[in-house]
Amino acid sequence: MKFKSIYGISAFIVSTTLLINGCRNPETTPGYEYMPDMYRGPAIETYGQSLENGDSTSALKPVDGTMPRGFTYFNFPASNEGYELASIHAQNPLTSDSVNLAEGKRLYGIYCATCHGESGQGDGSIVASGKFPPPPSYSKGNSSRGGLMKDLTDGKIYHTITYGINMMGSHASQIAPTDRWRVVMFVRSLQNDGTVPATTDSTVAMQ
Amino acid sequence: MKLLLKNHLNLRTVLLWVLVLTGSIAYGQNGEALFNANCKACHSPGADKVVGPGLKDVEKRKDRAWLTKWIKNSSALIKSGDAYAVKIYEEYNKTAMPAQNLSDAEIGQILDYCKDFKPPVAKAPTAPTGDEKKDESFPWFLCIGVFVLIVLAAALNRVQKGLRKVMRDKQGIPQPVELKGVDAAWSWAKGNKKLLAICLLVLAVWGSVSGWYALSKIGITQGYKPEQPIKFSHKLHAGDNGIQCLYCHSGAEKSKHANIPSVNVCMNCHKYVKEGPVYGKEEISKIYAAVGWDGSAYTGEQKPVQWVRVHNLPDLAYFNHSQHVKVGKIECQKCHGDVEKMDVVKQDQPLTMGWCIECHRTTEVKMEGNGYYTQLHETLKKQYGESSKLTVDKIGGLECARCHY
Repeated sequence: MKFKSIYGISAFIVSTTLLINGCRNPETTPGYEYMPDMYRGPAIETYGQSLENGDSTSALKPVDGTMPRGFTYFNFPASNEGYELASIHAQNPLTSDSVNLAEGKRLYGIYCATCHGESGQGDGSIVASGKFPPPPSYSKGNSSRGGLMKDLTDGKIYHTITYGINMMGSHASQIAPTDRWRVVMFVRSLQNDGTVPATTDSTVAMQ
Repeated sequence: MKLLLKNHLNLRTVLLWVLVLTGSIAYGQNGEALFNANCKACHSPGADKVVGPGLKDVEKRKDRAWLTKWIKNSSALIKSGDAYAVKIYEEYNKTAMPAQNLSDAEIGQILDYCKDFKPPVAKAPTAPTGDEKKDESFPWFLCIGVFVLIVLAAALNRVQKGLRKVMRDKQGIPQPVELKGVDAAWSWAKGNKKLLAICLLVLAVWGSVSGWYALSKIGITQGYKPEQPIKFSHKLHAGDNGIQCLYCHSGAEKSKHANIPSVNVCMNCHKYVKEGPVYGKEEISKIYAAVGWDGSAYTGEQKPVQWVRVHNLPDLAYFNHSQHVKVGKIECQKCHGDVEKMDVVKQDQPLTMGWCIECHRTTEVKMEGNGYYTQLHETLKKQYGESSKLTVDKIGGLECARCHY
């Protein structure tokens, strides 16, 4: 009898171990949870499937005619006419100070420099590697919509960030309106001679 | 004197030839350089349409004189009512080509470059190498070896049995009763109790240790590395191409979530980049299918990409990205590991409560230059002393309701 119980206990230990260890590949399955009900509530996850339509996401666009708090409405259409109108009427609402300029420089480094280059010469890392065509230099290039890049106004630059042009896509979904004006401020500073203005840089290097 | 003159002449002709030769080499290179500097942003020297038409066989469409006029001032040519100029202008949605400040000779060099341009031979997509292959390798030779040994042992055992039988027959000893199945196993076990006990002990110890280890891993998904619907490589995009994390995950410093980029962000580059270095067009075409891009225009038929979530905190814990990235100025890699070196993203850290607490106990709050903390900083300095480290736990980073509510 004693002999048989040792047998049983050992078999139990070994089989549970095999069950827990062997039944999943830790690389491709997330594994077990102690209390799944507490871990995964019935609330819809941010990027889950929509309840109404399983083919679409739970993340939705703002309702037409509304916008998030803190956003400003850019009332110029995505056309050449809108571009020219923005050039005349759109004003940078931010005060030109070193804090805004430093933040503009940081944002430029994240969203623009990969193509336009640190100093705006159109020589960013992805252009240098030959994978993407070069955008025109802010200080020396021609604009595809006439005139020189260094004569671009605040409104024209903001319009281009918002709607994109040629090979550049719209960056409206990535850069918030106020941040776009900070980027505009920094781009204006690159138009002079292509040298990066010295700013008080208080940012973390983020890959 | 005559001789000297002759020598001089020879030297001159040689010099002239050298000049002509180097000139013609430089000429070819110049065309490429001029093209890259002035045209490449909108035109491909091949057949592809970029912003404007591809320039392959452009001189078969129009002669050099017309092209020169167009390049120097396209809008004037359109205004003059030239039929082909107007047609191109209309075809490209009235996007005018900016007037180029180039000389006739330079335009000639650019057109020569386009004429001689041969598209680079497309490389066959290379299968992924390195890590992935290593994972798949299975010790087949070991298995085969063990199998052969077992077969050999079984065969020898039979031979031995047969020989014993023959021996007993010869000596006239009666054959022992053959036990079968479970009875045989029991009888063997009773005869080898010591060996069995040792084996059981080893198995039980191994079982308990690894069982305990497995139990402690329940609910911890460190190392989770699921296959994604699109074989997107962070190593290629964030590592080799140097695209910043926040370019795509721009929500990380603005909201609770570091967003999964919507497909329009992919299209910022992939409208132009149609082929990847590893999987060719296969994976990139999945982006086009999701965003509804037919190669030149959006069709409006969209379908979300069903990415598999890698980092998944339980719903009972609150975590906010902007709090950590924007205010705490924590680098992405601190929690996510070196994603820029991963072809397939895996969960680098355990993401357990103990792990959170450990970091909150050791990380100092970045109080400097943050107006929100100015007053608190003064109070805390008085409470804990000037020189003490103001870590996250000192501003309430260990309170239950910070993360669980």
